[in-house]
Parts: sequence; structure tokens; C-alpha cells
Amino acid sequence: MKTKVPVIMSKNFYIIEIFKGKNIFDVFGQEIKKSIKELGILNIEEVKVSNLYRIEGNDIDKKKIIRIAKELLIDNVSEDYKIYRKTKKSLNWWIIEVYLKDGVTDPVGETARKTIIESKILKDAIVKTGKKYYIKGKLTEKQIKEICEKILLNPLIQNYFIYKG
Amino acid sequence: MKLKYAREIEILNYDDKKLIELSEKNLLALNLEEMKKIKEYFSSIGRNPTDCELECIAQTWSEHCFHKTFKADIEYQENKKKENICLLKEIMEVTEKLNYDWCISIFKDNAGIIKLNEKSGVAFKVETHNHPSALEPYGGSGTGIGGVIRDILGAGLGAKPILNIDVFCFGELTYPYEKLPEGVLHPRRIFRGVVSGVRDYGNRMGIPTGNGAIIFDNGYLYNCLVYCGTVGIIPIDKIEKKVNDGDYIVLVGGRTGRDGIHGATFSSVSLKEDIPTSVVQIGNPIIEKKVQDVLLSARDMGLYNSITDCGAGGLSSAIGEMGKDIGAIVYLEKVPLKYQGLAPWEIFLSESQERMVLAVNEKNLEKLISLFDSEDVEAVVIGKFVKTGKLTVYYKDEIVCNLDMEFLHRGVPKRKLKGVFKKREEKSFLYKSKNLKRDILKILSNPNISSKEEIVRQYDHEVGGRTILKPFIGYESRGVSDGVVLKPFYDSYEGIIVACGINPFYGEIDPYYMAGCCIEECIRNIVSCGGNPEKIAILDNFCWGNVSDEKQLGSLVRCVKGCKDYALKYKVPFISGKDSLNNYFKWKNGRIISIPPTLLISGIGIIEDIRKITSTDFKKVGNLIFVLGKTYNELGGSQFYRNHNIKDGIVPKPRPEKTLPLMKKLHYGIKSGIIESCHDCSDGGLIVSICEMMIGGNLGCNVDFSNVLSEKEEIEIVLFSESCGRFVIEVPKEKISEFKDLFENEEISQIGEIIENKKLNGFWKGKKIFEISLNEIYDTWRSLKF
Repeated sequence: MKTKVPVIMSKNFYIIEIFKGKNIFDVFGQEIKKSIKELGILNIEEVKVSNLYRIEGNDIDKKKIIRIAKELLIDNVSEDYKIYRKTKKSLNWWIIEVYLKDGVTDPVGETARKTIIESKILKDAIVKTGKKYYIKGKLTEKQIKEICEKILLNPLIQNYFIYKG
Repeated sequence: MKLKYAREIEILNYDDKKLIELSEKNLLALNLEEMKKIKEYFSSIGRNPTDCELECIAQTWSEHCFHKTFKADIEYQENKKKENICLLKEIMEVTEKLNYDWCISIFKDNAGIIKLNEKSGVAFKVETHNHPSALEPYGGSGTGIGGVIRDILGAGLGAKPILNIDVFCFGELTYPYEKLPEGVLHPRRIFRGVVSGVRDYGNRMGIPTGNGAIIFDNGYLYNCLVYCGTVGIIPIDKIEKKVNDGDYIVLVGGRTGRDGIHGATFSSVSLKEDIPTSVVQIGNPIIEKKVQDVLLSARDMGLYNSITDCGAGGLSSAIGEMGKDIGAIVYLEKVPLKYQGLAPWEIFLSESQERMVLAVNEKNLEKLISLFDSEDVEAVVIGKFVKTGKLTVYYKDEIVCNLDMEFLHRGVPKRKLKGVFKKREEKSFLYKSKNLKRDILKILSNPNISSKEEIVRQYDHEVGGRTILKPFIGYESRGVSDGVVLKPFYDSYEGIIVACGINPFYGEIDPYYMAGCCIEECIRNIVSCGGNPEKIAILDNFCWGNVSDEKQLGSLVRCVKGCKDYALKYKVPFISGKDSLNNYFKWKNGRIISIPPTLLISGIGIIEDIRKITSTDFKKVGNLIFVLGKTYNELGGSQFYRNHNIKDGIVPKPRPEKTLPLMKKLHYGIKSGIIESCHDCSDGGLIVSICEMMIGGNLGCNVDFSNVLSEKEEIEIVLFSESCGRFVIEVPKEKISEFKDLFENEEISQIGEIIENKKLNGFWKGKKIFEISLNEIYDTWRSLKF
């Protein structure tokens, strides 16, 4: 189920998702799991966190996006990436995507944009960064919303989209 | 006149009710008297203001920028005695009366500057960023530290930041989620966000964080407090700045967006349950780091005449302030934007971060622009300072703002306020402990006393290589230090000591003595590191609740009076300060909750030789332990009573006439090597100081508490009283005669000895009363998990 429509809609965009590689300890996921338990929601099995870069540009194609991901964004030792345009649902997981609202400064996105242009992969680009949370456990949508608003994001500056598994 | 870009705002025909409505609707935070003054001004020039003008006036006149309460005429009543008082004058009077020649730039620049040696000065400033941090903890607190770093960069012609300090106050982390109103973030969430926000900004700027404090109390549930401070060094010949007629206005650093609009006026009103998004700012430390580096080289090349940072109020406040005595013309369309679509007033008032404004002479302009260009920092000419006496702002071909500087900066009607203080009677009271050991361990595990290592370790305190006495000291770096000692120059042993004093719990009983205790705690911390009590300057930061309430204002006045009296008695000048008022939360049903009155005193001391300092950890088995100063039955507001929910008791009273001479002798003792370790006694009492010294030294001790010089022979008073003017020190046996000569006629007591066995053995008149192993002490003290 989708709760809100993303703010920017452009055909020429890709999303790069960066996540921890196999057998690498996901410290942020553990931290969030701990916080969720503190909320009193104990039915939680696992939490995984990925970083999202939504890259938009006129001269964009898959090959260039792979270069951006491999050369600029990931740490080859501990991280891996996925590229997609549309979020896929996952069977056992709740998926939550969080992006900054328009007009809120995105320093990481800005630095990524500059780097992409300086390394001459794209002529110009718009980069928005976000977070993607995978949550496993027997949870209701109400509980997921509670987790979102109390732990994962600040509704004042961030938008979020929930995909039910 | 038809306006294309700005909007005309009707006020000429408005009556009082409509004026107030206008102020509230547009978040101007101006009262009726001020709105009437604005109306009067515009009727005298025969037109309505534009949106840009009205916003510009509101920002300049905001509590945040103009400190209306501190400059107001206050009719103050204390126990039927009435007097008229101006708070700012009281504070400044201290510095004027003391009149030290080493205070170089006081209360006029972005930060206070004192003399370090013949060539250099030290700039110090502490700011608060409470409202933004309550809304968006990470971004709000990060921009708090970013802002104060820019204050230091904008002090004189630019000082180089070398140290950050942070003090936070939060609600208790265990508070139940369901009791909080909607829109208020849980203390745990605020805590995590603030800690990481300040950490990320400070660490990425490459500035060490060396000192701080964290206080947990449910008074801060709805309004957390975030104090950020920065110390910088500046060449003495770069302190004077002056804007000249004809200088260009150059905007450097980050781009302008819609972020942080209404920050200054917003922070002058209460937090409500509905808040606009645009008040939040997000920092970008990488840009600020670049600005810092290129700015300091431009300073050394003498490329600009004056500088200030774009803080609250944005360009309107920065340019307005710089051109106060001259006048300025600004072209807003030249300001680099993050995205299109900003109205002129939004550009002029935006509080986007990482921006500085320079005044540059025409002959240096090209050189300056190309220097900034070479470091990939944007520098753009956006206007000129011209002797017109007016602030004129264009957007393309339209004048969107045209105000007299005189009206803008001196037209604010002086507020007339009333404050009442009714002293709560202090009842002498003594609670007898049922189980001493349990009480001691309970105090050690209290969040306000226990180790904050988990947090402090996230902050880089080493970067720059100047930190001599670090936050952690002693065995395996377990102990905590009273303050931080820096060695700013590689080729000299001169040093800077920074420490702070804060204790809101005394303020609930009497803010006057809270002020005294905070000032003394700060000085004590500096002196126990080896500082010279005669070379200390302090900063005041007041965070208060709803000051339109007479009682709240009364307590603020009472606190300021305490600051004045005790600063004069301890002979320490105030060099800078800041107030953050209206820290209160308004529930939908109208209930108002103010924060506890909170005063932070931050101090900076200068020493000649950093090799002659000491730390708090016990050093050697066989050395003797002394207590300097006398203990009184002053348990009011103490950790011990708070643990037992006792509201009575007498609040600690500073005794400068005894403590100041004692501190001078202590300074001599540390300098000449008689004293091997020294720790001040404050929160939690004597027992906490001894435990912390044991942890640092990984050594045990035998202490007979009946030997402690005390007003009354009661074990609870000796262990837990938080009386001022006390230090625990360690003296080697062979230096005992020298020590006794030095402290002849002073109130000192020999209380025990350091032993090999890792235990605290507590005696009373020779009889053993408790025994706690060092492991238990350490584990309890470290038990808090964040």
C-alpha cells in the first residue's frame, strides 16, 4: 500500500540503493531495532537500513548510473548496491522510504551532485538522498506509522512512503 | 505605486486590534506598542510598508536580535522593596567596574575577546539553539554549533576556531511516550538527534570538543536546551573592524534557500502544537570548513574591512547591523539561490546556513573574489555600503525595502516590564540516610552524575593536537576532568583553560544563589585544573521560561542580580553573553509549561605554563587526602535530596571572602607542585568527588569523614552537601610541611590516605561505617546506557 505520491516525478531518473554487504554487521539496523523495542513494540524480528540516492538528469542511462554507484557512492569492501526505478514490495518485509521534503537542505545530495558533475559522468543532475528501512515482524500498519513518526523520521522535514509486504 | 515583486501591507488604516492580528498572523512577534510605532513611522513617510520592510523590522526588533527584555526598564519588586532595573546594564557594570586591561573587545562584537599574549587574543562565545533543536534535533543542534563557529569567524576580522563546548538539558529518557502531546518529540529522540547533530558538525569541521555537561530533568521535556560554544584565537592587530563608505557588500559561502525563515521571531514566541516547516535549518559543515579556511587566509592578506556572520535574521540582520552607521544598498537578485521561486523578502530574511557577509574595498575586490574562487567557495557582490543612512533593497528594478537605519536600529520602543520575586523560605532540614552505601551508589548511578563516556567519546577532542588536559584522564582514561586545557601555539607553553558551571536545581529555590554557585563552580573547575583565579573571564547564558509572566521575569532579575554581585566579588568580568527567553510550551488547552530557570556560566582562564597543571585522578599510594573549605548543611537542591524527592533544605551559598584567597593559594600550590591532584566538590557532594578521583587513579582510599570540617557533625551533610568553596586534593607526605605553611589559617582538614587495596573504606570517628569496592563504584557510575 502506498500512502503518498513522491514529490518529483521525472522519467529520467534512477534510484540507487546502497546496503551493507553479506556478513557485515548493520549497526544502524540494530540501533533502530533497539529503539523500536523501547517503544514497547516487541514483535520485531529484524531491521535493515539502506541509503537511497535518487538521481535525475537529462543524459542519464543505466551504464552511467552503475558508474556513479560503483565509483562514487559505495564502499567496495562493505557495501553493495541495487538500481531500480520503482520500489518493489517484498514478501515478508515492511518497506519504508524516507525522503527530505522539497526546500529542505540536503547536504549529502548536494555533495553527491557536485561530485557527479566534477567527475564528468553527467552534465547536470538533481540528487535527492533518502533512507530505506526494511522491517520484519508481525506488525500492524498503525504500529509501522508509530515507528515512522517516533523513530525513523521527522514529519516536519521528511516525507515517507510505506510499502506493505 | 504598484509593486511587481513585493507586496504592500496595509497598516495605515488599521486599528489596534487589526495590528495585533497582523503581527500574530505573520509570525512577527511584535506587541501592540511596537506595531503602533511602525504605523507611526509609515504614516510620517506617507505610505504602507512592503512585506520585506515589515519582516525586516520584525527581525531586527525581535527578542533574539535586540534583547528587548534585557534592555527593558523593569520595575522589580522583591519582598515589598521596589526598584527599577535594566538587566543588560547590571551585567555590563561588572566588566566596567573591574576594568581589566586584558579584556579587549567586550559586548560589542560577535564574541568577547581577551588578551592571551602580546600577539594574540582569545575569542569566546556561547550560543543557544533551543527552539530549532526541539523541532528537528539533528539539524537544529548541528546548525547551533555551526552558528557559533561562524560567530567566532566573524569576531574581529575573523578568529580561528580551536575548541567547541556543548551543554545539553533534556527531559528524562525514561519518560513514557504516551504522556507526551502530539508534535513533541520524545526526550530519547531529541537526545540522540542533538548528540549526533553537534557531533557531526563539530567533528567534520575539524574542531575538537573538549568540555560540556548534560542535565536530565523533566522540566526540559517540551523545551530541550542546547548550548554550543566555540573558542578561537585571533592576532591582536586583526580585532578592529570598520565598514567604510563605498565598501562593497560581498556574500560568501552557502546558497540561500527557504530554510530558517522566521527563525529569529520564531524563537521569540512559544512552541505550540503547530509549526511551519520552513523554520528548520539543516547544516552543511563541508561548506563551512571551506569558508573558514579561505576566510582566514583572506584575513591575513587584509582583503576586507569588516565581517559578520549571517545568523538569525539572515541578510537583513547582517547587513543592517554592519551598515548601521552608514547605510546600504542591496540588490537581492544577485544573491545565489538554491532554487528559484523565492520572494524578495524570503531572500532577505532566509537563515540559510554557512553564509558570511564581508565589507570589501574596491581595490581588493578582484583579488578577494579570485581567492574565494580558487577554493571553490562562492563569493558574490550583492550591494554597497553608501552613506545614505538608509537600508535600501532592490529586487531587479523595484525598491522592495527602504528604511531609515536610525528607525530600524534605534526606533524600538523601550519595553516597560514588571517583575516580582517572592523568596521561598529555606527550611533547614536534615534527612537521615537509612543505608549509606545504597544512597551513595544511587547518586553515582544518577544520570546527572554518572559517566557520560558513551556520549563524550563520540566527540573528537584531540583533532588539532592542542588538547593537553583532555576530558578523560588517568588509568585507562577512566577518570573525568574538571575542565579542558589547550596549548594554542606550538612554540610557547601558554595555555587556555575552559570549564563551565550549571545547576538549575538551585534555581528552583533561589536564582540569586544559583547564579553565585554557577559562577563559583565554573571558577573552581578552572582553578582545580591549575588556572589562575585572577585571570578568568566568564560568559553568561540565560535560558528562561515565559518572561511575560511577572514571576518568571522576577526570578530572571533576581538571577541577574546574583550574577552581578558574585562576579564583582570573585572579580571575574563578563565578556559576552546571550539570553534565550520564552522557552515554554503551550498546550492546546492554554496550559503553559516553562522550563526551570537555567543559567550557564562558561569560563575561560589564561595560564602561562601548561606544564604546571594538575588533573583529578589520584596519583600515588601513601599520599594524603585533604579537603579545602568548610562543609555546611546545604542540601537544598542537592542530588541526595532529589533522589529522595525532598524539596526543602538550604541552597548552597557561595562565600567569596573565604574562597577567593583559598583559590589563590591553591593555584600557587598546584603551580609549585605541592598538590598532585585536585578535584572540585559540586554535584553530588564530597563523596562523588572522592569516587571520581579513585576511578581516575585506579586506587583505593581510607577516609575518616568525621575529620571533615563541617558546620554540623552529621555524616549526611559531610557526604552529600554541595556547599561551595571546597576542593579535594592529594598531597605527598614529604611535602606536608610546605603544604601546611601555605594553607596556614585556612579551613582545611586532613581526611585520609590513598591505599593500594582498591576499596573505599569509610570511617566515622575511627569506626568503619561502609566499604565499597572500586569495581562496584566504577560499574555503578558507568551503569547508565544511553
